[in-house]
Amino acid sequence: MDFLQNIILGFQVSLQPINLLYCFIGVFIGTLVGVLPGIGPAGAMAILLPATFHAPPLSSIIMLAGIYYGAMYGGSTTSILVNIPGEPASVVTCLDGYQMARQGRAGPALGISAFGSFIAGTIGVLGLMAVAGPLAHLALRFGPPEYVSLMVLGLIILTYLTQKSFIKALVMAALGLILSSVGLDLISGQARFTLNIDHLLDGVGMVPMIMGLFGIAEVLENLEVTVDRSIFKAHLKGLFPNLKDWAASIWAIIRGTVIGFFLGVLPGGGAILASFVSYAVEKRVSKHPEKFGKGAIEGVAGPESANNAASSGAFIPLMSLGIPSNVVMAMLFAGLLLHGIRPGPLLIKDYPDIFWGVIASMYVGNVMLLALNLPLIGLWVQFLKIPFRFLFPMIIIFCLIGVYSLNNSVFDIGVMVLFGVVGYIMRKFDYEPAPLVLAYVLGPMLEQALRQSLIISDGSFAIFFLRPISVVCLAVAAFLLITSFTTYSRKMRREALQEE
Amino acid sequence: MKKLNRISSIFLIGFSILICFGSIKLGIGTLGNMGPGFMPFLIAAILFILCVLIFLGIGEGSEDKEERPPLGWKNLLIPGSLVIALFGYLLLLEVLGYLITTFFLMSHMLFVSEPKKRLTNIFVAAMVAMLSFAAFRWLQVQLPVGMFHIGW
Repeated sequence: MDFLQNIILGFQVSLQPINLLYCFIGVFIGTLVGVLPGIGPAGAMAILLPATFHAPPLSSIIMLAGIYYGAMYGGSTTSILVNIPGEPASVVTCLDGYQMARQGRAGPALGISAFGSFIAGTIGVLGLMAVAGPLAHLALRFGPPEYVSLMVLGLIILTYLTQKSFIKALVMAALGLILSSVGLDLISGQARFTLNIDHLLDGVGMVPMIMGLFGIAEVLENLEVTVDRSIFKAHLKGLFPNLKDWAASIWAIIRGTVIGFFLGVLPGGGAILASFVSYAVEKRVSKHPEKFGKGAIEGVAGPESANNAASSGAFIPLMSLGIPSNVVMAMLFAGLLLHGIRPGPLLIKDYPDIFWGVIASMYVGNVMLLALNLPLIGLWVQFLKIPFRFLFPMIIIFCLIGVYSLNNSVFDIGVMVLFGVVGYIMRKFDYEPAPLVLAYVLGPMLEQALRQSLIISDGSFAIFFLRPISVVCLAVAAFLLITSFTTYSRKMRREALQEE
Repeated sequence: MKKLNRISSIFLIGFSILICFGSIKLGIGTLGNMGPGFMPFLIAAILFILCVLIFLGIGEGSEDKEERPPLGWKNLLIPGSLVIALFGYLLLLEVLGYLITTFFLMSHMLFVSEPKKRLTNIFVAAMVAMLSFAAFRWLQVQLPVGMFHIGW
């Protein structure tokens, strides 16, 4: 009965005109961001974060969440029509989506992608409703040692799943933790690494740092290269997949939804991993694996469903444990903190309207996205024609005003530009910014929980190995660390033998 | 990539040593009563070890083995000029005000990508500066008017 009442409460607040408007703005911007290669949902959320400062908290979070799952919808459009993924979670969609477009089946590819996303998004939200509440209840029993272990596990998983070097990802996480220690010490009140700059007493601004690392660095990188966007010119027709397409796709959608949801829940997991795993599973279970890469509709339906389900699943650790599982969730975490709301086990109890309102808005957003992505597909194709030379000045201006408006401070702009340059150099040296941002967000919580744990245990690390949840998390983290190092050493040994 | 890895690791090793010394100055404390420098010291020590591993080439991804073409100046010219322009913007924003500095920054960004369309670029830059100022003022965002008090 409570569950039903909560859902009704969620819809009551999310269907208010102001929240509907913010939801629409969020999914619209999300789709746009997904369609336009060059700026991902994390960058867009970072840019718009300051703009939510004056908006009501619920509306802001609804909009930011809409950007995330909206980008998952939009990302498939460029993958299918241009063979350029709008965002990383749609990379796999290029393989079969573009081939379908070349065979004159762009319509069904876009259609199944939108329907698959809708089905997965809706089921994902149902899963979120079912799991987040009980998990938050369970999390109330977590003490500082459990939180330390869980955060360590989250950081290790994120670095483990990184596309580039595992050690470089760990380096980025370590840098993020060091950056998070800048400012006043939580317990002693002593200033740490502030370089006698008063602005740094509150720490390095999260929003300017994220905007620099994602927004400015992305623009700087894109200015170097000119991407050839040869849009598929055939007239788009038959957006509704036929019965044969549905028969081929329905199980792929269901499998993709389940895979995506669980990988989304995993700390450090997310939409990118989900789409890749879903594609691999579909290829393995298919009776015609040779058709994959040549226009198999399952190769579009599975990954597109998986990345949408993952975007719903990713809300679970944030809402119930207060731990962002990926960089986009870290951005939402920042959004909630900006409005004085701390995500965690008490969120459902203290702010039921926010919790259930955001979840209900995801249903509404999914319906809006279906309407936006099918009839308006032509509009999104037109957006693809906007040259980057017009887009980047706008992105820069938005970043500048957004950051300045936070505290009316030029210092924040300086931090943003500095991190933009750092982010750009990091990309040149193949260091990914995501582990840095996640570690930066988790840093203060990790330090506080570690200190509390060691005070409780009188300085003994055994406390982390005496509690079941904590020991399981640490065992998994250790297992991942060992396997990644042994994989590397085996690979190196093999390469050395080949060279000989 | 190996060369780039070595350069970055040397820089980060230096950084981690600096943080270690800074942390010791802050006070590390004991395990039962951690000082403000404990956590940064621990992380900086981990960072140091990781960077040494990178320097030695341990744990490289297969893509790290590929030798990349050197970064050309032509490629870096536009991003470099934008960074300089942004630092200039930063210094002049409160002196000249939002409208003037944004106009110059927009002009610069448009000129670097389309140098021939001078009049169009100037017109677009002026329009963007004015419209964005009006839009953000309407959203109650306080923007600097500078020493000439241009704006409201």
